[in-house]
Amino acid sequence: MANPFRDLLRFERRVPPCAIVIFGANGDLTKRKLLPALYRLAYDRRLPASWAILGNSRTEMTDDAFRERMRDSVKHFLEDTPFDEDLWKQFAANLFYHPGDISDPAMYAGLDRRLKELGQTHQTAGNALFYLSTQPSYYQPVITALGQSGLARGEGWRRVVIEKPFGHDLASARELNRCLRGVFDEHDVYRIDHYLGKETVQNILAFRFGNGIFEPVWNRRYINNVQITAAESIGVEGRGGYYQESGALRDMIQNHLMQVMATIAMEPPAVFESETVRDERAKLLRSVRLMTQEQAPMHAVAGQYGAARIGSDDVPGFREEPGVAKDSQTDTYAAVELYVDNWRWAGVPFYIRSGKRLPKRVTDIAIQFNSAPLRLFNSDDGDGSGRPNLLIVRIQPEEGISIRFLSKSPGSGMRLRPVSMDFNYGTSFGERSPSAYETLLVDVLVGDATLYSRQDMVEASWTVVQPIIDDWNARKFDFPNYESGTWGPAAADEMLARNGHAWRVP
Amino acid sequence: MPAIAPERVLKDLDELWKGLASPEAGVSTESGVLRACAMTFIVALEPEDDMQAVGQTIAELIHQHPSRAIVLKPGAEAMPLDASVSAQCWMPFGKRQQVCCEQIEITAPPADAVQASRLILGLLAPDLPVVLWCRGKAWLKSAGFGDLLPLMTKVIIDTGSGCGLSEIACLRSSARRVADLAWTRTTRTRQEIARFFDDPRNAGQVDSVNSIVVPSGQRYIGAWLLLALPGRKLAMDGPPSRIRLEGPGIGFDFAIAPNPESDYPLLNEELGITGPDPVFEAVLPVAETLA
Repeated sequence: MANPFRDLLRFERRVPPCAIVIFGANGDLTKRKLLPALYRLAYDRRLPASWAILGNSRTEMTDDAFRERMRDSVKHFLEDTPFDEDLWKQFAANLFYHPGDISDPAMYAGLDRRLKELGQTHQTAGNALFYLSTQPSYYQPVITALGQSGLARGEGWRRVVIEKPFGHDLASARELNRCLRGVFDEHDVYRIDHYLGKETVQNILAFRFGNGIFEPVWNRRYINNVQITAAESIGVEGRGGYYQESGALRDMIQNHLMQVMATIAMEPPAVFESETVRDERAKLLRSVRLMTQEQAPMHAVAGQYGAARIGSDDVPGFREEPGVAKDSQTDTYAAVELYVDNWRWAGVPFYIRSGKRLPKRVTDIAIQFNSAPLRLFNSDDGDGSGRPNLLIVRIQPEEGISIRFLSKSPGSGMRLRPVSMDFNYGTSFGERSPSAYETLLVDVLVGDATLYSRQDMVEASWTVVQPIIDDWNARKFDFPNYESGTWGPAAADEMLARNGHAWRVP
Repeated sequence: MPAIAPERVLKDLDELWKGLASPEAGVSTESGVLRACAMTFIVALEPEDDMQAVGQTIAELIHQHPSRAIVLKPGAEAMPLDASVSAQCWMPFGKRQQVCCEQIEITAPPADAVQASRLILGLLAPDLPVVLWCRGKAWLKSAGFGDLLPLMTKVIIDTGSGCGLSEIACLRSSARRVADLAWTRTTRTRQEIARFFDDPRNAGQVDSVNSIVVPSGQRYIGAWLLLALPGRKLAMDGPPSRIRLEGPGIGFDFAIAPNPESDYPLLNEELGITGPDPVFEAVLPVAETLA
């Protein structure tokens, strides 16, 4: 029965009493993202009166030692919020720690006891979120143990959050899903893709479906191609050993960027609800044309950065990074050309690229429109080609949306020049947007899965990239094939040139 | 009273921004200055208003709701219309760029608001929402001010101080949307009641409630409860600061949340709502019958 007292416009979504169990609590993700986000939620008074965090890792430490470590992390990694010592004291009173090995059944028995204690002392109402902030290889053992120990069921709700990568290929993704479904119901499984929690990615749906002017041109009649770029200027920063196991295709394209592509290309849902939105994303991903392993070389390019001098620094190539094999075949750059076989998008290429050691850090989506059917005017730069209109959604570093169009240059004659019409978040929305993790943590605690990946979405995107993975595994690349500080291998440019296209410089 | 043309004020704003961007002003950083504006926010002051306190509220509000703020100050009778421009700037925590919002102060006698209204008409930021916060009745009663109302996306008054229900009734005939800070003050209390009944164990007892008791004067809360629980008996003579819902064998008590220390949280909430407010629009006619 609907609550007759609800006022959705004015009331904040309420986070219910709960305990958050973080496996891998001594790891990077907890320190850099989870605890700062939770602290910020406490700062904004979004956490309930009754809550607790129970961290776990192998490291032996007391509750107080854990609190001290987390205090240092939050202080260090809090980005746009002052650190308030008084608030921290209140916050830290809800932090607890339970050491133990995730392969030890006794650890889970101890965890169960502590959760029950917290239920008494902190009135967590039996609700528990299990956050797997561990290496992916530990997901299945932890999930299985949660099932066997009875922790996956309790008085209240029991949910699990897992981070990407969801498997390292299609088979392992299916295996992971089977394991999850053996312990949790699908609606209690939250596969986090933090890109979906970014305000700018969420804004794509508002932009497309909240305005009347864009959807009529959001199709193959008007759009020439779509380019999605996620570029980093840094290298692997000491995490070469971990990165070797994944690469750009698995680390970025299979998950984040395909979800961004789905958001750009999906059909509008009938109602804006969790399952209907995810249904449309999943449908879009299933509509991506599957390539065979033999076709992959024409539609996907792998790259690996080599040494270079950038500014006054000599930066090493990937193979010279610590922890990386001298003959590593890992792709630090990947570019793919995809097509969506549906009425809206047939024939429109979606070019997706991601890489490390590119000239700058930028993530954006560029929608290039078809040129005007008749060129009445000369363009100012004299190359005679005419610049197509672009709609650019900037995800980082400066969130916003731009439209590039041609305008007359002042003066006599009719010479045109491209100009930009900009929307910046800062100009219109003041001080601060919540971080992706703040948004996603509130969502999982209130039980809203709209911004989380579903099993079918994960498997659909693995299905798309699997032929590329199979092709790359079967080949030996002549790496490195791009210099650090450049926009990637020449083969990526050739892939677009075959269609008469070129990568834009973001 | 000599008029000031909007073009003069807009030119002053241009000069202001040029000045802010220059290194000599000491505002601009390496990353420049960001001119932020998502709405026109007009604040019509009363003669007895504490300018500093209101200025502080505006300065806090524009962090979340960057605006071209137009502050309408009541001047002495026969005093000439005067307008001046300034900017409020701040550096968001952790960022390196100053964010600035422009502020226009117009001083005019409320008794003759025609020139002030015409000036304001020419200063509205194009194509963006316009919100008017009337801190009392002084401007609402004046001739000429009514011309502005149909252009307002929203007019905010406070029947808890200064205005009465008659002002709301009058405004609803000319302004698109009206908000009342007396209603905004009820949000925290209403939220607690709603959260209580989010619990299925409590929700199951809602049907058994047959009587509502609220303190005298709490017409909005009374009206809201009557709408949520139609057909129940409402008594408006309860103890101060308490709400009680009763039925056979059941009784629920709720405390009315204390008022915030400043208007900032109330205005912050209202500025975030520029579209329809269906709950308030349903409550208002019921509340009018309870006054």
